[in-house]
Amino acid sequence: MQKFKKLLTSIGMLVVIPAAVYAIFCIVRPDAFLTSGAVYSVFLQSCAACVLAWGISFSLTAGITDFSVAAERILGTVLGVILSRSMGIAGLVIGCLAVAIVCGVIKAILNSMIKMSSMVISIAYVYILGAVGSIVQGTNSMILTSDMCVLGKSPAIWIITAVCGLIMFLLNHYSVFGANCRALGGSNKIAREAGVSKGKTEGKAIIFASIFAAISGIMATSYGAGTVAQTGLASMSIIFPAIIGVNIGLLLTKWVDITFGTIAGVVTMNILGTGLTAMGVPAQLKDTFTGAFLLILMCLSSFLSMKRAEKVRRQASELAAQAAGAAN
Amino acid sequence: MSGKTSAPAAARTKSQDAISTAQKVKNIVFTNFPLICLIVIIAFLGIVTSGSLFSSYNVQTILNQMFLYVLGGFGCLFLFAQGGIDLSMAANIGMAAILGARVLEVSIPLGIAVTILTATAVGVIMGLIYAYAKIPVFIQGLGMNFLINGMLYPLCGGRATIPVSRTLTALQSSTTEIIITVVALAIVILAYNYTKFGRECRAIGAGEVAAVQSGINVKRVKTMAFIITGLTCGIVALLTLIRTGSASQTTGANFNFNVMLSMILGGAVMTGGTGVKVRNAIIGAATLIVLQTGLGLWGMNTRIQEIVKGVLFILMIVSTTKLESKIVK
Amino acid sequence: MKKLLALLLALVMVFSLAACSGGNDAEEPSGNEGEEPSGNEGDGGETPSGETDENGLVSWKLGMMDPGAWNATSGPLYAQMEAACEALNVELYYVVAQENSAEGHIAAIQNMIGADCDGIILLNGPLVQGIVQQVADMCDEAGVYWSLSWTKIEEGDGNYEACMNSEYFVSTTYEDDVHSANWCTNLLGELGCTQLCEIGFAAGNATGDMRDQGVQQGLEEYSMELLAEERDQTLTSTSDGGKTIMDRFITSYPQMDGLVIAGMSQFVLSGVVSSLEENNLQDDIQVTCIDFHEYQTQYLESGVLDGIIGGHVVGTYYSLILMANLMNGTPLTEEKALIEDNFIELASYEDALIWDEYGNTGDIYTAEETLNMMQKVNPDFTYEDLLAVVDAYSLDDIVTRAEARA
Repeated sequence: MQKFKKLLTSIGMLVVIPAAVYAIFCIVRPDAFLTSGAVYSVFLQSCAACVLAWGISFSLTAGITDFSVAAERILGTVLGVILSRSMGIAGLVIGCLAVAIVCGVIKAILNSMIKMSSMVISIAYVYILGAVGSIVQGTNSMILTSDMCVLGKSPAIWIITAVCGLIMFLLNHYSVFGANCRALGGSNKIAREAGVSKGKTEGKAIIFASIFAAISGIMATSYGAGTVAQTGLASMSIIFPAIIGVNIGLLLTKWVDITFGTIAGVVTMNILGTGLTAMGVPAQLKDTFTGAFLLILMCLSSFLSMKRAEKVRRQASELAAQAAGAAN
Repeated sequence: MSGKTSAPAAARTKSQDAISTAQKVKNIVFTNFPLICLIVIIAFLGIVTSGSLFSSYNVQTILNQMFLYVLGGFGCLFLFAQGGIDLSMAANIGMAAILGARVLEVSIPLGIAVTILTATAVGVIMGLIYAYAKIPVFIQGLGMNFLINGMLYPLCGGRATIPVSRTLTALQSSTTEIIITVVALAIVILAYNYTKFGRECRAIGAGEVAAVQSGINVKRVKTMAFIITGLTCGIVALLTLIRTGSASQTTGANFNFNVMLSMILGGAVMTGGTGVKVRNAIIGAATLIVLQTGLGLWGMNTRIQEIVKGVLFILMIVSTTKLESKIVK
Repeated sequence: MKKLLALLLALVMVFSLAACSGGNDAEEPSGNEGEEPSGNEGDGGETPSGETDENGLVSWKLGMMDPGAWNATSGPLYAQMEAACEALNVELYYVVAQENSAEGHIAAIQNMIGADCDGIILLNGPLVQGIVQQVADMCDEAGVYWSLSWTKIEEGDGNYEACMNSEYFVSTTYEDDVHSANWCTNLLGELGCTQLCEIGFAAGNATGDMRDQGVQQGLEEYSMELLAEERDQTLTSTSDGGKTIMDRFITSYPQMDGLVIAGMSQFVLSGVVSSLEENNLQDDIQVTCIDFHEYQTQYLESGVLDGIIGGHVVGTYYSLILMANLMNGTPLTEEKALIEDNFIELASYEDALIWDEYGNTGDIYTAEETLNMMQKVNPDFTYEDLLAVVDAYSLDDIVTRAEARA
């Protein structure tokens, strides 16, 4: 019974945020939102973003902030589209994965050498990868012909998302790697004293993020039938929604696995985007809602946990006082 | 007997002295590595551009482009010292500039006040969240940046750009910029190195628990640091209005990342504490801008420029961190 | 200490490596190491007195913004500029705007002046960022000639005053952006559409505002309704974003029967097409688009795209002709030139094929034609002749000239 209740709470918590947002838009525009097509479309749009968010979730939990994942994804897709001209879909997959593995390994090695915050270094990577991407692109066409887009269409896109989700869930739940990432994120010092190898764990997280980003790149390029190189810091705008998605997922970890929490986060943002479009509101306002939503949720959850900690502390001190009284 | 024992002892002391002198030199080099890099870069680019890097126009341009990043760095110093960063600076500058420019159309003093107060108000909110809600500071900044960014267009009132009157833009000159920088430098040196507040910021960066135990009002110091950053955003927004003569949704774009990058290039450490110094802001901004200007002057392909810049950033940051750990005190 | 030396060596190595690639710079075959600056600081805007080539044209340096990654809209423009610069003995110097902001553009222009550029030709950056006055001030102070493109200035607005009062302002070329959007919208009206959606530049873009006017006029002319618009740059700057936008439109507005892409088409069009094909709505939703796209021919052939307007890749070239004549001491006009040039309208697959064959070549005007527009080479060429060239620019004109050459 207890287990069943827990499961129900989990499902409830998972569904409550996206459902609430969806419900609001259903009231405003029932004709557009109360259709199965609308739900399908929102989920379809969320697939590639979910895989990207899962990819960076391990590195984010381990405390690594890497803005260059998006630039890496773009470079991979640029190479992939060029290779697809001669090798077909295999070329796209090889291009994306090859870039991901090479960049991931280099970044992992550098990370173990640097032993410092990755955020600033990742901005340097963004510059390098952006420039390399535009050199590789040259004057090549970056459009994928429709017969090459299979991986971005149903059913392939669902299968890829499900497989990635399963890998993510298994790694997070049953692997030492997942636990090590959480340990590092909790406290670097304690984790290392407990025998967690910082370099190795972070390295794995970085490579994992690269590969998942590449898969999401394959999906997004096939889904949108093309890609385009972006120079300077322009590519970073792709990674921010994913970071926010993961953070919403992290907020829900108390009730559900981060794998599902992240889906809830990404789907919520997409519902918000679709909803604002449907209401004819300037699309930029979506950012305001997303930002406010994240800040309010995080503050609330932080206050709640502080309150809980305070309660536990008070109970403990009361017990101690009672024990002392009894001893006297 | 005593003679026999004292000779090796003296030799040992002497050799220790010799090591410590070498170590001292090493320490000086290691501590000033970002500065040395900057000098090497300036010298190298000076040579390959046949001295055109040092033409009066280019020197002026470099100082001019450094100016806002230096000010931004000064403003972030207190937050950096605590191990914090403010990723909402870009949007905050944008919002302050847009609101300010709109009010400036009516009244100049009121417009200036609105620009600075808007940004400071955001700083206050950020500070309170940072001090009381205890959410990761990087996510907090990102969230706030999103929140404000979405409002920039509605705040523009349907206009692409909001022009600022010529009387205000006429204020821009190298002399004014140098005076502002010097005054800001004096204030920051005083406030950061010689006040209790500056010490408290560094103490929080060194270890928050220890800071709390030693009686520092951490919440107040944290909030204050963000308010200073907000105030700085206001000043930067105002100076940007004077410099560019207009406000738009792109005002302040990427300012947050550039300031962070320039602080780190200048040798600051992300974890805060005593590793954050006033000079980081100046050296870092100079490195960033000299590289941008110099590589271009050299006539290098623009794509290769970006790659070289990225590689140099990584090399400099990695070596600064490596060398810092080798400093023997 | 050894490690320190190693690090310094590494730094030097990176620079040397870069030096090699700098020397191989595709845009600047002559290389500019050790080149004497031509000196234009405060020398009152003298025209350059560099070496002359076999045509008697002086060598000078032109600053432009770096094109960024290649696309079908700006790619041919820069290709034409590079070809023309080579013919005219002009060194083309690119500068990157580090940030897409007013501050970033000002810094880039300062860097062009600092690199001793004798002239600068900018696209619509100063207009979009609202810094035309600042550009005028900087160029006047440094004595550098400057021109704008894709920038319409009209009497009565601040930008017009700024340009006209600038001693060193040469010209601006512009297209009728109200017309381009109007053409797209009207085409949809003629195709019988009544319920439209729009994808455009991020709100608050001066060019975008003009295009919106054109859309609005078309809506009124054909009594159509604009259901929704999407300008979110995180979506409009990628092709998967384009598909998401279209999917959302289809979900939210099942009654939609037309789409105007008034900006960002290079990024979104393939995604939009993919969404239409997947939902099997190619025949139910008509699409028109501003700015050329690399796959427009295929899309027009399959019928998923109904019309596209663009080809505005020669405005900067006209500015270059004016500036090059000025630099050679034979200005075509004493006036500050405001030149409106034409778009190319592709309403059918056949039109697109013609553009591919004759227009999308990188040199719509060949080296010979370019040299003929220089008074030093062809003393009979006048400003009126240039205006006639500008006015003639159309699909027919491109074909006629190409056939005449053949």
